[in-house]
Amino acid sequence: MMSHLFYFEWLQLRKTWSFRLTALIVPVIIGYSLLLGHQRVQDQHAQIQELLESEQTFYDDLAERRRAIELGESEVEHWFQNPGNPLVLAQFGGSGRYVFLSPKPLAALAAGQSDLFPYYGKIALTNRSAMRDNALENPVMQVAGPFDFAFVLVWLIPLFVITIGYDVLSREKEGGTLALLQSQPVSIQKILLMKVLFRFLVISGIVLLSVLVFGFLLGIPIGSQAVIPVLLAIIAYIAFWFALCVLVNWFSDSSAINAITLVGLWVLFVLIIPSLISLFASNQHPVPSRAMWVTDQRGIQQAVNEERHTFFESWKADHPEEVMDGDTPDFYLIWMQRLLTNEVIQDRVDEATERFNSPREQQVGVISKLRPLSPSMLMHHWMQQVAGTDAQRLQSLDGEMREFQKDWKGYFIPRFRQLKYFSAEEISQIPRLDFD
Amino acid sequence: MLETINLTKQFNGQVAVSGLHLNIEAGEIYCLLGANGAGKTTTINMLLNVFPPSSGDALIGGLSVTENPLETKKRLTYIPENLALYPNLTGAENLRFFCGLSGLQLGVTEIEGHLKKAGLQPEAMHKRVETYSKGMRQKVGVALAIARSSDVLLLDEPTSGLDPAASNDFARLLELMKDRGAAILMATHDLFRAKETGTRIGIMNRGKLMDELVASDISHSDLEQVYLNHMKS
Repeated sequence: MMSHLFYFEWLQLRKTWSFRLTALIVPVIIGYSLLLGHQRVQDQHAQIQELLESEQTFYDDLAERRRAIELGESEVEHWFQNPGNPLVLAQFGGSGRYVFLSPKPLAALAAGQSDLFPYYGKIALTNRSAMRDNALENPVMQVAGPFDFAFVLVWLIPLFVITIGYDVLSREKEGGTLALLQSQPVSIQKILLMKVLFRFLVISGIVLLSVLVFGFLLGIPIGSQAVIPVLLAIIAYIAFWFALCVLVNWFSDSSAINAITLVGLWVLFVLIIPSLISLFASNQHPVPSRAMWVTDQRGIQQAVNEERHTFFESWKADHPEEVMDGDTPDFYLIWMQRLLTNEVIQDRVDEATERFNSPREQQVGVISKLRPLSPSMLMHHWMQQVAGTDAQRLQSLDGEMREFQKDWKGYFIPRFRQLKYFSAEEISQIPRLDFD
Repeated sequence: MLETINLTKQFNGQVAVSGLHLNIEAGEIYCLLGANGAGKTTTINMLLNVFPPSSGDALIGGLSVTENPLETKKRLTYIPENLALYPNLTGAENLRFFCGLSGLQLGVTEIEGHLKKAGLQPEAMHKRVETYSKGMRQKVGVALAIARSSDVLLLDEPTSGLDPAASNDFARLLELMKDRGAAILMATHDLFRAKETGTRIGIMNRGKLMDELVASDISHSDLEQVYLNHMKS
């Protein structure tokens, strides 16, 4: 009986404009969104590779020059030209290390916040800067977000589910076929359930098949185990919207009213509730203006610079064992003072940044609590987490850089304090961060 | 074959059908005449178990329609005033679909054969039903009854809106079904068709069966007079 009902539902459905439109457009937009996502991830991988290679070339070159000096084949006139100098290796020119957040295997599914937050940065002794070459250039995208699979799934697929399901029961009532079905020797509930189930399977099938086919063609790891929860989540999300279709059909006999009601629910769940939650969170925990934060930073820098002599003298008094005996080159004292000052500035700026970020974190907390009010918000957030492009992960770059900078300083500054130059061999062993 | 025993239906205290007793044998066409709201369609809906009777019972082939709804529906075919089929399926596809619901899996030749017996032109069988006239759709309904060899036919105003030729065609199909041994209950306003086609005629008013006549024993004009008298009472 199930196959009989499915077959004839298929005969009918395939002749409707709504099905033809869905079967045509859904694979195209899914394919296009995955293609864009795949290109974005490929670009990131290429960028990371390029930066790693340039970094390697830079230090190979320094090691080569240092080796020439060690062999007496070359001489340097100034201290900052000596590649063995810790400052040259850790601070000057192109020195320093890149820190990356590598794209996760399913990063192509959701651009998430990756157009707002950087995915790599560079640290040196006194600098820690995130690179923003992936920032948004198109102002329209700031409103609508990038065209990625998560956007297609969360925003557009529900509209196609509505297209397929808005008249799943009302069509029978309006067309008069319900009366004839009721006279058949099969439970009417069973017939209608099979019809609903078939339509649900059709729309789910179109979406899943599109994801699998295009994912396979593009080389996205859809065969991995990680993709199973994604496919289940897609089915669950489609089931939610299809259940809404059935619910609305249950209470209304008019297909036109059903269509309008369902579009209204789409607006509510996809647009209104997320906007209200966002507004509520920002009203509850307003973020100070960025201008104030920048002013604070400048104030800190100015205040610390004015006291830099005091810092240095007090440090010398506290660490007499670290102060070199005898004559020291001019740059030594200047840079000792600069490094100390920078340390204080960074600590104070980090504290100010923490204060600036605190309301934002509280906002995130409020949004997390209210997110279940909108399945669309839940789904979007979850997709970003799976793709590794959620704000929390991308913001962790700053922490990674901070931690690695501590290691970097711990490696170079003691050598600088003793003015112990690096050999060519040591240059090739400079530490690297094991990033994920 | 089809029997109602003191069949009664009330909606919010309003009596729609009151103590109806009917007994329709195989090979009989029983025409139920009555004005709008007389209780004809309510009676058919109770036979289909669309809603249960308030009291009394209806039997098809000796089985209660309320206790054995699916079993009794296997033995009947229902043709409403406007037989609504799936418009984007062909007549043949519609017939296959509804036959399948009774567990009948028929091939193309059999389907075409049944449609042909019901009088549907061969060139129309594989056209979408949305292009069909009402008469053509009714023929698909009769083809369903033929295919399922239904013991009982429930017809609710089947000739309403049909032109005289189509109405006459339909009457001949009913004769065919009668000859095949079906018990036919036809609710209608059409006194002429009831007299011409029916074996017996029942007249309903305000939910009650007012009179029962043998069609061959009464003339057209007498039937009209009796009908009008009952409507005035």
